Amino acid sequence: MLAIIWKDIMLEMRSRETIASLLVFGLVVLVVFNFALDVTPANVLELAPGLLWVAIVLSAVTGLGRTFLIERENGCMTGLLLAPIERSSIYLAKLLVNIALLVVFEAGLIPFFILIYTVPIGGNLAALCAVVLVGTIGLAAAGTLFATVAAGTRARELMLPLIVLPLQIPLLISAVQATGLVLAGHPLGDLGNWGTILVAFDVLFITMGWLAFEFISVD
Amino acid sequence: MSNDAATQPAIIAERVERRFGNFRVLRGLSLQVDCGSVLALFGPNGAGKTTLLRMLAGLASPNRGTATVFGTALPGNAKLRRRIGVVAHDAYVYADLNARENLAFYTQLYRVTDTERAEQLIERVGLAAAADRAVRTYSRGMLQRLALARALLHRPDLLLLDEPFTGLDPQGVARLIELLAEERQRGTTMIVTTHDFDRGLAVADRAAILGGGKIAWQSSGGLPDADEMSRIYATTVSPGA
Repeated sequence: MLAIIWKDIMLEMRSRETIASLLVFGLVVLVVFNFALDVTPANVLELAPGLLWVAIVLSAVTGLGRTFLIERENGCMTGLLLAPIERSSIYLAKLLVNIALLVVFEAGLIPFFILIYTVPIGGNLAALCAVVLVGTIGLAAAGTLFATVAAGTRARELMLPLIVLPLQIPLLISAVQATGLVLAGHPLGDLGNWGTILVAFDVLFITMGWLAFEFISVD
Repeated sequence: MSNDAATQPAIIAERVERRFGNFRVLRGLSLQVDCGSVLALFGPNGAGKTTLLRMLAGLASPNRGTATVFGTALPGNAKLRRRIGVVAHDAYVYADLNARENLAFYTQLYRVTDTERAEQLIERVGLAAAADRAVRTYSRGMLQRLALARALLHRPDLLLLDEPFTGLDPQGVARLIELLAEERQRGTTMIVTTHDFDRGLAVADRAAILGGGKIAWQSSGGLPDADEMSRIYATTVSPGA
């Protein structure tokens, strides 16, 4: 598993294609909404959580498929499936790479988001990062699983958003609500059901990916 | 080669059927390959040679019938995959890595402990001069050589070669035949699919023709020469089969 993670990170470090496309897409979304909506200090806490997650989810959906697309060239995915490793560990390796890529992307996106919308972050930056991380794990878990399915289809760039976005609605709603609460100054302990849904989504999709990967990747 | 080599056939397939949708590619195929034996498998395009090799490699399951490799029912497990090497139409190498990096990756994946193995194979397949170049710049023949090095890296007990001569120049073909002879001497069981009777028969000790989703003919005793094989092929395989 570590070999796959190392190889993927080395390939990304050379091309920087995924990080660049995620960042450009995410920043453009934030900039466009900044002009389209009248975000003021009075309504920033209502609008900002949704804007942040729209930028993260749309960028993630465009970028998540790439970790499997690099395996399509020269049939490398088959090379991985032939290897004497548990096939579910391929899913876990790809998931960890996707989480790492999204975290790097968010490390660039969140400061820009705070600056452009003048978000009153106060002392809750750590809580915001925690919510974003838990949401990101769920996004990556579902995205990685269905990127495997989409990579085998002809219209793969279209298929991934079509499959993943509807499935991520519960995660997106919970993430927006939880982000709103931490931006309003509530501690993580006050997230209630929204926090539970986020964690449950992570556990559900990681387990599903772990169990289903072999069946969906082999004829 | 493992200890079980002498006691049981490496491959046993019995009435194997493999479908894609409603189309049956393999239609009750039965085949037995002894350990250490090299089978040259001929057959027209679409006969199911690649499907059979993919199945034996654990990439697909039979829809009907049973197939075992070294006593393990297919699609097998990680332990079985450790004993199999595959050279296919695709090279399974990363275009943005060079040959050394690709083999280093597979060395880790297969937990190969011999640290010199990759370097020796790069030399053996004639890629030493290009080993630090990104694979993206390789020709078809160079990719095929690298694929061979990748497949041999972990010293497999079963080598599945799907049209391995494709894209190779005469020097590359000679090297491949030499390497396969060494593997044969080592006791590696091999299946080589090809359309070239001369080359196929040069590396094999058994031959078979796949037609109509079954083994339509197989050699018994000695191998025919290429001319005789060509005649057998013409009478066994109907046009468009």
